Amino acid sequence: MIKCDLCSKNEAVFHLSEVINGKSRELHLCESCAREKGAEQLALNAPLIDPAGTAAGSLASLLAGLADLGTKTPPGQKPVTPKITCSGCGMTFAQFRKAGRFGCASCYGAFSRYLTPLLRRIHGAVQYSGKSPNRKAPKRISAKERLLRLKTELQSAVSAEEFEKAAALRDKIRLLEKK
Amino acid sequence: MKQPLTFDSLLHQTGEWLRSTGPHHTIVLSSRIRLARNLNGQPFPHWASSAQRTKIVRKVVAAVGKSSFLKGSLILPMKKLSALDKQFLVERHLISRDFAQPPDEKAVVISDREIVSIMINEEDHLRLQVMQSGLRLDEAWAILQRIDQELEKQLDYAFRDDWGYLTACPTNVGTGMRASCMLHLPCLVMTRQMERVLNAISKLGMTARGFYGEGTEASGNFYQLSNQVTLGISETDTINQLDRIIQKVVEQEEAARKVLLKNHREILEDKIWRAYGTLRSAAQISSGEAVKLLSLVRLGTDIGRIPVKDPALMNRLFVQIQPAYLQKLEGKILSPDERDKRRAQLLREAF
Ligand SMILES: [Zn+2]
Ligand SMILES: [Zn+2]
Repeated sequence: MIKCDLCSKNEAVFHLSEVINGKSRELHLCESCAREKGAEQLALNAPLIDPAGTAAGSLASLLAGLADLGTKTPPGQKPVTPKITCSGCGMTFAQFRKAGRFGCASCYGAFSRYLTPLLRRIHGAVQYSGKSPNRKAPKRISAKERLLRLKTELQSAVSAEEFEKAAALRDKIRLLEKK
Repeated sequence: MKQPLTFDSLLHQTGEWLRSTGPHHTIVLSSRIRLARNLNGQPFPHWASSAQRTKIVRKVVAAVGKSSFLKGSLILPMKKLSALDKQFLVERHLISRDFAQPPDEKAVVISDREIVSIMINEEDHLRLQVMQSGLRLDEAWAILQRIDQELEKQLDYAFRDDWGYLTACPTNVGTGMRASCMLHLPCLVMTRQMERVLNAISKLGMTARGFYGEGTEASGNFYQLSNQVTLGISETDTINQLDRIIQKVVEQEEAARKVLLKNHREILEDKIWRAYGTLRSAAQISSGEAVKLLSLVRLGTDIGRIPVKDPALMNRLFVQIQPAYLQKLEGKILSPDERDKRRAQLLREAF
């Protein structure tokens, strides 16, 4: 049995592969992770994110689509807005969706799970490139924290259809888990 | 000794960005870059209480006070400004139209020659902007980086490794940077090529706005071209990409000017001289008409038809014919009719 690359628990039933620069990479997902990440559509070659919507769509319409991204929506039911509140400023995810603006910098952390598809739609990318504040050496993070971060990144990569990155992340996670 | 900057001194000086210098300055009026920055642990302005907003103003003003680059800058609390003063700053591109609206726990920092302005509590805690004359995005970026580096020593900027600088609106997250150039494109408009140009620009991930930013009409054939994406592309890559696109648009405007001069010289010259004549002789004129005619006269000076002693005059006038400037000049509130007369007088004196 091939295990799911995301949850490492269930049997993988979706096998995605992509050839990048002559190298073939694979990603294996179980049914529930695949549905959650919209991989079902990916496998059918229907893009999860409409690239044409990037330029034309207003922010409001981008945000309106947010509820179906990242939440499980059983067929025939209305998408549910996740009930999350930012501990930094008290803004709820529903309030963010309505206003289109965050309440504070911590909101990014609180809502992070649902932001990747949104950022992808607005910017066509989800990984920052540019200068950073000139600070002291970054604090060391524990192996557990690192693993958690990698897993979050893997989820982002999958939902962003970055399969090469996802496969590389999966390899890293496996290495760490063996230790 | 240099005089310290005061609000009233702004009235009698020309902002650096209007000086008509720098590469391609006949077509590229100015270059501007702004950075959005926020503080950790403080709600964004729209979500903050008035006490929290006041605290943010205090924090940022204290940091500005420690910057060597911003030494001697004018710091204006919005609370102390009249509606007319605020409008005057909007017309000079020192603050945004939104910034002039309530609530007023806000402040703006304006540097010598109006090169730098920092809006505190606009959509983000800080909006740093640098303006330069001509196509000079590189210089603007160099200045901006220096100020940003000075301020980040004093302020705890909100930043994540994966998403960059965190902003109130997700459309600005990442670099938080909007680089833009103000272009005067009368001949692309006359030859009906603007739609094609704007289409091409949007396909390259850039947008076009009017003279006074988002949501304003492209009056006087001025277009503000800027980047749209802030995540996934670095500041320098964004600037280089925009710079290349601007140069292409400049080439196209130059080509359109050549074509018009070659094939329709009389029609073009007639338009320009008529505009000049009206500006020199009108007894009253609306700002809309003035901007339209000034655009033609500006073109006339660019192609050597109309001699002007001071090339910066043509840029300055676009700002000086605006309502708040005229009223500050008169030192009192003017009715629209009175403004149209005062505007006409100012233009007659200029030409
Ligand atoms: Zn799974
Ligand atoms: Zn928050």
